[in-house]
Amino acid sequence: MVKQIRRAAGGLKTGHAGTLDPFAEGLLIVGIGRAATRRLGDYMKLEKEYFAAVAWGAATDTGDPTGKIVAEAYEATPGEGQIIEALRRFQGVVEQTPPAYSAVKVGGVRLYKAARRGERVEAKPRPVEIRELELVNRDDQGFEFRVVCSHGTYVRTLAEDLAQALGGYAHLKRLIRTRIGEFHLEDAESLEGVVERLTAGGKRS
Amino acid sequence: MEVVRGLENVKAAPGALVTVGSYDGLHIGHQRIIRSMRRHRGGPITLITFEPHPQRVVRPDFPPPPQLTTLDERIALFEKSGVKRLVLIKFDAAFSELTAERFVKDVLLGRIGMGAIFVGPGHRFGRGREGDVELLGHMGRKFSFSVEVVPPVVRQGAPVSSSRIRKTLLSGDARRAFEWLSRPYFLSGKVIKGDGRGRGLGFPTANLTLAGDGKLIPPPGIYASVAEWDNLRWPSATHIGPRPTYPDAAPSVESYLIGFAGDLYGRSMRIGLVSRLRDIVAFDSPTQLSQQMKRDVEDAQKTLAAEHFGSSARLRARRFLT
Repeated sequence: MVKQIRRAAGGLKTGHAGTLDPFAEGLLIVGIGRAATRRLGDYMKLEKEYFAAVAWGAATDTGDPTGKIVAEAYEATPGEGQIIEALRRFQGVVEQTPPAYSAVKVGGVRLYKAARRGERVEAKPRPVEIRELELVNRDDQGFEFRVVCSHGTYVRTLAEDLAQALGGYAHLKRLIRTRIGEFHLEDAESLEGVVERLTAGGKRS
Repeated sequence: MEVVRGLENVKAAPGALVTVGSYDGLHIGHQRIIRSMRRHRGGPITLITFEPHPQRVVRPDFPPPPQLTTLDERIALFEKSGVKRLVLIKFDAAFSELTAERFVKDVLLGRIGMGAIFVGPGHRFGRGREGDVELLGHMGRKFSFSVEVVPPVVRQGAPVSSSRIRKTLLSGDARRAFEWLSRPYFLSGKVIKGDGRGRGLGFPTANLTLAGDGKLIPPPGIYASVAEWDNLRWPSATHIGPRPTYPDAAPSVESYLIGFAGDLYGRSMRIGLVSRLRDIVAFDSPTQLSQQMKRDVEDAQKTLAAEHFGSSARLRARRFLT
């Protein structure tokens, strides 16, 4: 994505703040030009808001739909009250172990690189803050929630931990980042829009 | 949020981030402007609005359209959205004669201490609405304040605006208004003693005396709605308008709170209209009316579930996740 923008920007220095999982959608802050890329560091540590859809019944090795199913249980999605109760328990500062497929480094090695080689490297649990967590939908297939969390929170892991607390297995079906600090997805430009504006002659974004 | 009534009571805050307008309804377009102020570095987020509605002074023969929000409702919404300072300017004949340039120089720069102004691309201001974004640009360069033109939120091919939402509501499309406001359109009032007809039909309703002069009343009909009082939110079905099955009964706004049992007399209540279900019709007998009410309640329940019970988070979830 960043490559596409860099090409459209005529090779100007281009970078982004905060990675977005490959399967995820939503907001990414992209800086174009030296001045903008320099400011990207300020945006890395901002809180994030996501909407997530949880597929109930099966856990995958990656925690998302791209992975292999590693555990299954044919049980109905828990009731609304049960889910709300579980969500309440995950609010505040909670310990979270980054998933095997993540960009977190252990001993200088990215976890996903070790995982792809079939190695088992365990990351240490670390504290993250879940500031808001609410159920927005529930049906037979699973449920959807909205979360506002500190930087460094893995929503994939949150979904797995929630499933465990609810006595079942689950993985994220969809994940959409809707806010980074005061930057809202509602105000963002689409990738096509950015590329179009850049190639139309404008050099700044 | 600090509310300042009258320009003479304003203490200039250097670098203030300023926006000017009636901000009726604080809809998703307005919200985008305020969000862009929140992202900006500078002084306090300052919203300037006029009281009474400028049109009452400029065109006394042609009253302004009914409003989506009362001033009190707007104050509560501004506060929640992150406005730090609300300046209410008394709009009178003298003020209406102020040129656009003087408004910027004397009021915005002199009184408020403006460092940046945030407007939609079509913003007009000053005597006879002579000022526009281009003039702001010129003056910004001359007096070194920045001008941020915030792109409108486009829905159904046109920018969302208060007047479009009014039209939408008046045409009976409460569901779309809910989407564009990001919250249901609310009527508020006190629960008074009704005639007890609803109770007799098996559907006791809370009758409302509407508060808020000049507030838009949506067309007669039956609506799927949410009732709010204290910190409670309850699914309901609301009747607005005449009651033709009872020729002697005056028009009313009344709401059946689905499955609620309790006394609400005397309470302040808000009714948020989520979707309009049907027109008002006259029935031959109270029994027929009662049967229809049963169907209305079922329809309201189905509609409310589909419309996420008027919750803005659920509304956004639908927008993003489907």
